[in-house]
Amino acid sequence: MKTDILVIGSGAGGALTAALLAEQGFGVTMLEEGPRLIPAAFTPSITEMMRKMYRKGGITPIIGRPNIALAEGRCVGGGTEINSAIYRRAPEDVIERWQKDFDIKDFSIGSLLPLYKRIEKDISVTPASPNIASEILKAGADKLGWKGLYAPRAQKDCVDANMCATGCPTGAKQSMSVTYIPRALNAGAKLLPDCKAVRIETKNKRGIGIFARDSKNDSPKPFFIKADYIFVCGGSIQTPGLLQRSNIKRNIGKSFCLHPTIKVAAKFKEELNLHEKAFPTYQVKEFSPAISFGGAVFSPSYAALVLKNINGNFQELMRYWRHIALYYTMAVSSGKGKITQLPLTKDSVMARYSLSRGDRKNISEGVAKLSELLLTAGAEEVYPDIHGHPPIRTIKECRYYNDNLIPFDRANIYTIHIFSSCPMGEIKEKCAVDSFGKIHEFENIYLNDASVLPDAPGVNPQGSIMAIAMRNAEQFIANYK
Amino acid sequence: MPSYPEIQNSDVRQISEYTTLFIEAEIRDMDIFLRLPCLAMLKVFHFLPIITYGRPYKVLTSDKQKEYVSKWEDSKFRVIRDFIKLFRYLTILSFYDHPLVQKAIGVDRGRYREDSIFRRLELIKAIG
Repeated sequence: MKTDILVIGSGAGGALTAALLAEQGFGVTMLEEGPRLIPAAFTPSITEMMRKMYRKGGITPIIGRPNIALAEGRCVGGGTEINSAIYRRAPEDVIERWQKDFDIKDFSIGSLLPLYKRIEKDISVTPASPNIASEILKAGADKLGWKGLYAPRAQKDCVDANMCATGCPTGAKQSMSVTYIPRALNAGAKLLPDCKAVRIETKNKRGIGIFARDSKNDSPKPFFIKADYIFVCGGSIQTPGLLQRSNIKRNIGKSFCLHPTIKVAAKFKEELNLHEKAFPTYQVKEFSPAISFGGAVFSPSYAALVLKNINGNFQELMRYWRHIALYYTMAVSSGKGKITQLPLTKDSVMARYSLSRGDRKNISEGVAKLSELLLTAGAEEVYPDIHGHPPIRTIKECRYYNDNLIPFDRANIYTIHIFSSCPMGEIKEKCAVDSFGKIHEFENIYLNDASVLPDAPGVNPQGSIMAIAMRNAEQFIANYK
Repeated sequence: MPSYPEIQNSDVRQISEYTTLFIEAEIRDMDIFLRLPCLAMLKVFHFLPIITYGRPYKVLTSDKQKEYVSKWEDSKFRVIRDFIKLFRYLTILSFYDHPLVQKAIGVDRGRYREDSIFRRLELIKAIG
């Protein structure tokens, strides 16, 4: 099989890359490891959809001290099919830092702004519908004088199905499968779902093509796809995994960043019934970039996972599940993790990150401040997601963690934002790809996903991933012509 | 079986089987560097009570099982705490996600359908 452009991965970076290149007349083939699912296949069952849409059934932890829970999307559309669709532009100071610290050419808020605007139009980035969980967070923040904002979402006519994490059944969430992938296909691109990229074949500093195999039937026999240009868009963990399997290793997988996060549940006097509402979008930014707060997706299962940890009667508390809201406090990682393709395995890729002292301090302070905000907003009790932790009922109890660390050996830390495993820029000592995503030593292999973000942006990353992917794809088109 | 919600006897077996199948499938799909330690810990978990209680975990009384699990949750060894945390996570997630449990607590899973069936059909036609 032969193609002009092979795009590996169909998430936020890959789908956009495929669409733009196909629309310019290139012969594009998209390879996606996961299945293509139609909206009729989506159900509200988390356990069912984890097995269909998530890598390894949703169990893909980042190993470290402590281990950090992570769920990766593995389907056509990638992570955009299971995320909240909250969309943020990278802050101006982050863009300036990236340009300066990584020496990225032609990179500024001025150059990215038109791209952000085009993407926002393409995927209908609009203010989200009202949500009581957001109103609670805002009420508490307002009383404390803390600033925040309503983050917009990529959505059209959301009906509050509350199935963002299990696949939007109405297409309201503007994930890649309803936006850029149809565009790519309409422009003549081919999509090969259930195909895993095993290894990139290279010769004389050029990628010749890739060996791939059928991932649905776990066939061991690979087939070869010859390509003139290869865009690797498999995400922050799978992209370095593939490159390392292909013996492309310089600065690959050595600078992994994330937003470590912990949930805090709160019980209110009145019924909230948040299982019937879509994702809350209010975010408190008073302590950004180090710490921010927001609302977490709600279901009785997710509530139970937090409440089971409290030092008390979990079963009795679950009777009040309709009175419960879930929130998160998120930090920006100050350390660097590693991504390693494990030797002697077919495709096992291990992500490692251990919380730094700074991370621990920020998360602890985040728990303190979020708990205080929720009590201020009227919560009767607050429950940080820490095994054996008693309910927090007073401001004094909250403030304990302003100066003390939470017990991280008992805390359930997770993340939904990962990036920077193959950073872009002209500083060859630390950058894996150049200013426009081309791997430094290779003529025709590009990365165009979250792995090229220089470091943690401190906000939901989808907007930045797509803006950079658009920028890099258009540069490729300009160079080609 | 968690005490909330109250589950009818006729449904207990179905929910238990679903939870067991879900956990087995999750373990099967784990990366090898997780799966092998997990399977090893599972064997230890099941047979270690023979030393303390004289019989394996599966045939302990409900109270003894809770006591035993609690000891693992509070273990000073991180690997033991992480193992039991994972299993509790999978058990509770699958239990409260089961349609019969959700029905018992009053969740309407088909809620969105009335609002959106027309739009879904249009969407399917549009993207194929």
